Amino acid sequence: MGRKGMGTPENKERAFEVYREFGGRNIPKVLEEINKRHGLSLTTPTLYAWKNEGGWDGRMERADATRAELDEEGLSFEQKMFKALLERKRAYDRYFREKPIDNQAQYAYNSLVESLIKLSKGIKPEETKDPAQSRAEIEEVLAAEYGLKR
Amino acid sequence: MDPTKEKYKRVRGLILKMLAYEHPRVLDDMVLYALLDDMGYPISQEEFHSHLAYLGDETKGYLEVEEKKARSVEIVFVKITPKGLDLLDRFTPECDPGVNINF
Repeated sequence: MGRKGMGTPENKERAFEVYREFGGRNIPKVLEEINKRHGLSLTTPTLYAWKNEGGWDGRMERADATRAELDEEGLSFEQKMFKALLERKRAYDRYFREKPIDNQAQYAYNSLVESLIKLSKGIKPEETKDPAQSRAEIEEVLAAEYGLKR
Repeated sequence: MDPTKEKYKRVRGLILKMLAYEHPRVLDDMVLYALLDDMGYPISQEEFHSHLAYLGDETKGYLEVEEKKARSVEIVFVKITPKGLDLLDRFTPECDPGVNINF
């Protein structure tokens, strides 16, 4: 494949996948691996050009941060999304404090809040027990463990 | 047709359609991600960013990802370009085989 024809979005994505796999380190190895796996003849300058053009380091950091944040167990997808969006809303709040409001940011913020409201309606609150039922369960445990009866 | 590839194409088309709906306004990337799930296309963050990179690549140029930085925080917007709108409106002579807008 001619070098000029290599810069397709597909090849750039393939290269990014390998770059991410290596944590953005050891560029010679990354290059070797890309060329071996995908039959390309990529050079170091081209790889750096693709990396800068695609903001690979930023992409990698954002993906890792979001993954770490969403990896908490026991949350439904909606709950995870709600949490991620809430965090993003806080980022906007900080952004508006630090920068004069711009229209684009305001529009994005509005749609963010709309999504939050929509998601919050879809999330079922955790089931709470009936107080009478809880009391009965406590009394049952007390009776079984300590012989206490009321 | 490989169903996975067809799904990729549809997700890309859907991303453009949602951005066109907001045009000329922008969408936060996380909101766009949540909307995709809402529309019945739940995908991983990695896949989502891969589609954004694909659609925003200079050879495609259907959308723009803009990172805005303040002192301690960064927010990310996504916006459809005129080229992306032309694709959706079928104003371009050829369709894009990597993006399905016919659904």
